[in-house]
Amino acid sequence: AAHSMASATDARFGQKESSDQNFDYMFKILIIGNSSVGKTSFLFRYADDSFTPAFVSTVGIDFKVKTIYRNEKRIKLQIWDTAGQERYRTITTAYYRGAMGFILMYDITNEESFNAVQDWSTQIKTYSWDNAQVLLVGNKCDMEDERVVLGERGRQLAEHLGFEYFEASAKDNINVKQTFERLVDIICEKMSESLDAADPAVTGAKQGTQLNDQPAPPHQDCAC
Amino acid sequence: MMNRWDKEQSKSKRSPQTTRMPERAELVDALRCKLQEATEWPDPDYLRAVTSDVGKLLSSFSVPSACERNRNVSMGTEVDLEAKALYPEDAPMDMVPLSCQGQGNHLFEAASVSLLGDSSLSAELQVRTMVEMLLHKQYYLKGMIDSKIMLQAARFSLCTEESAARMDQLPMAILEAIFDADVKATCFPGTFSNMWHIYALASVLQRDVYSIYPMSNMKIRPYFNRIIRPRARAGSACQSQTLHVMWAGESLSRSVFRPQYFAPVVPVSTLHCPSSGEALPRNTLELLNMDPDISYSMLREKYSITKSTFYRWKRQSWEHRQKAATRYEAKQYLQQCFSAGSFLPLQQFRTRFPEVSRSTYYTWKHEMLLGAGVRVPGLDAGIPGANENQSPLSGGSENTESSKLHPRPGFPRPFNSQRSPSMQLVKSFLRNCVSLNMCPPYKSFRKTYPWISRSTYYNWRREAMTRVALGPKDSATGQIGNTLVGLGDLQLPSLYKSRAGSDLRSPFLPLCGSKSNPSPLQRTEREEAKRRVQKWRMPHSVFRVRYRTISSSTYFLWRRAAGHQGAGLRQQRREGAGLRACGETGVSLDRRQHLVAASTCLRSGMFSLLPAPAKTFNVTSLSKAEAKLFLQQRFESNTFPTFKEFSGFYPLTPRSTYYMWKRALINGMVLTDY
Repeated sequence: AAHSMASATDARFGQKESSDQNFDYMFKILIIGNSSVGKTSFLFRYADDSFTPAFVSTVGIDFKVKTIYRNEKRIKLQIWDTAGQERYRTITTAYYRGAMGFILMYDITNEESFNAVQDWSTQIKTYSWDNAQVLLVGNKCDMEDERVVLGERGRQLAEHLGFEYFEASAKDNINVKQTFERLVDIICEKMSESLDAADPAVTGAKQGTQLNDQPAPPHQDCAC
Repeated sequence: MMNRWDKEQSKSKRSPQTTRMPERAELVDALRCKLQEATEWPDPDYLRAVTSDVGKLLSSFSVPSACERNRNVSMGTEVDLEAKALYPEDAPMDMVPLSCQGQGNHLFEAASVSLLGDSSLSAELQVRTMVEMLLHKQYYLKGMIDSKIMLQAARFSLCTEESAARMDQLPMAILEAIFDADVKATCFPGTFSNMWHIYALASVLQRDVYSIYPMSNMKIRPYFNRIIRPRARAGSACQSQTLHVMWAGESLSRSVFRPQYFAPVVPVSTLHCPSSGEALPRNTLELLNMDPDISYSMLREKYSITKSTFYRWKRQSWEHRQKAATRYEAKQYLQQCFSAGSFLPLQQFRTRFPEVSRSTYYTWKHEMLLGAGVRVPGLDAGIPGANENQSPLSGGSENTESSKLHPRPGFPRPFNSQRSPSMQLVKSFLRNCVSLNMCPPYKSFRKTYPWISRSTYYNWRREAMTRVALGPKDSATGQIGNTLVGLGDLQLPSLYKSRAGSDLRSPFLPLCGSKSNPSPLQRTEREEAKRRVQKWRMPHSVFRVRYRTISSSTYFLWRRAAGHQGAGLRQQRREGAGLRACGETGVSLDRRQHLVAASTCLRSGMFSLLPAPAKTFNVTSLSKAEAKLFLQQRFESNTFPTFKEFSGFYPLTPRSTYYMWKRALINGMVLTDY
């Protein structure tokens, strides 16, 4: 039962809001990975296009919001930046619920952060909704001389875990935007897939009890 | 951006007191967008400034309450059965949790339904709560009497079971950061509320909020099951009414509960529109007692008591009347709950009606379940009390077996016909499922047939499984069936013999009875435990919870013994020309065949509840327990298998489960004790 906990009631595919709203869909995305792999920098680069080389450990948890246009839809991304330190790991798992995408990050100059990927992936499977999409990102690819994790290893691990893989640099702004956009696209693909799979008969039968049990991903209209 | 902002402000200044609902909703939406946009700014002061403005605007008109609107729960609202099952005994008795749609864990939808009967106010409550939390942060984190308790609750909701101890030291700075993030997230859809939201909500409503928490997680329950006081209280009497919301979710065991969402809780009386004027026999009786000469015509105008009932009561002694009235009331209440889609648990029923016996409760329950397709006689408005003289034992269990209760058109039923095939149909459906080896778990079953009790489900399933084990005598494989009957007699005597009421002693008893002189009760329990382990493949986890006194080693001993028998049985069956096997190997072998059968089932209409095939062929609990044991042993011997190797042994265990277990082992947890 453990790995289905987060799926009940909270897994929501894209919130289609009324026309008054300032967006068509909202996706909750989490960036996770060991401490100091560059999660906060990655987020700041994407949301504010800024970079600060000084390392400040994230306190608890925070999020930033960025609205993008993708496939003619206004998509609001609520991107949660989590503390990577081991002792706060359980706090952050409480925020996995409702997340539709994860960016699982390691530092290509830090073997340990790469070795922890497996564990992080287990965390996702344990605490998030089954349909959550994950992208593996090797950050700090600008620091080629200090690289200890070869790209090939990253790619293989990603393949093994069933994730897509990017190498990126928040500092040099390499692949940052691409990472987020690819994640959004995967989420959208998954959304239309589950829409196609939706069987009206089954959905109809579930009405009324839907809240109380492990729901199929709520099928909301998305054509993106 | 600011232009629109000003426009909104002036618009609301024009007529803040008379803001009507649609206009009000529009305004709230606009304010919410405003707050959302403000969260995008890097500077937190900007968000604060905007929030302050929004707060001023909102304070110019007040939260509507049930006094202003006639609260009546909107049509189509259903009782939340799962939440109802978790509803604690110490919560108000005459209230019931409802299901409500919403995003995230929908605290605000629940609050709106509790307040007004519909979710029209949820967005406004959400925005107001955010404003309250942001502007009065210091009050909530430090200033209230309850601050420490609230923070402790927040800590507990952030941790998982295994980290509860470490969470105690979670520093204030981190909690504050989490509070800030939670506040910001509150203006977005799909937000997940926490205890601090409830505190702020109480202030928004200026009234007490009763946060109802199931009778589980007893160590932390006091932090969540509380009456939350508002920061400041409203003056009017109407607004001083307490609002009820309930933490609902998944019950993992009797003592462990995992909160997942909030349910509105409303008085039972608001659920039913009493159009026919619900008869309140107690009132009638009081009148009768006060004035023995009161006539029927006088009463009739007030209450819908039939003439015959009235005169019967009039003839009877005072005590007798009182008793009859209680029974009448109790039954009617039970029927109401049943019609509302749930069944009042015995304990609650007895608390409410201590005079009515347990057996009567079960008789009524049985009647109502039986009558799911047929209206229960005696409770129709026309003939109340007609069956009061019936023996409490009438309508015994034999009825379930014999009567064919097909839905009768024209009879009002508590559920619509699509969801209410007769008991018999449901039973035969379950039987079919079992014979296809795809019996839906109770959880799925309940979704489609919520009115069938858990015990009935298990009774039917047991019966169906017995049939399967005995072999389909009417089929071409009758011979094998007979062989199996023979085997059953030999090897599974406890089940059949005890059912037949004969000797309870099983040949296995010496094997499992480690204590010198177990009492008959213990013996029966062990027999039952063993039967469940061997015959019904009770998972180890369930076993440990249910039979605390029986060791795990006994469990595995039984399992192994059953495995040998099972293998023997399977062998025989296969030799006997491909009869459906029920062991795991059988599952994989016959998967194609089952799929075909399943799709036939699906096509034939009413079986829409069949779980997805992928789920059906999930790892059986036996192999799960074995896999755990395997992993643990390998872990202890330092030869932990890779996933590849592991999946060679246990192909049905998903990768994620493997990793979950692996992690647990690395973290020093014990998967299973053997």
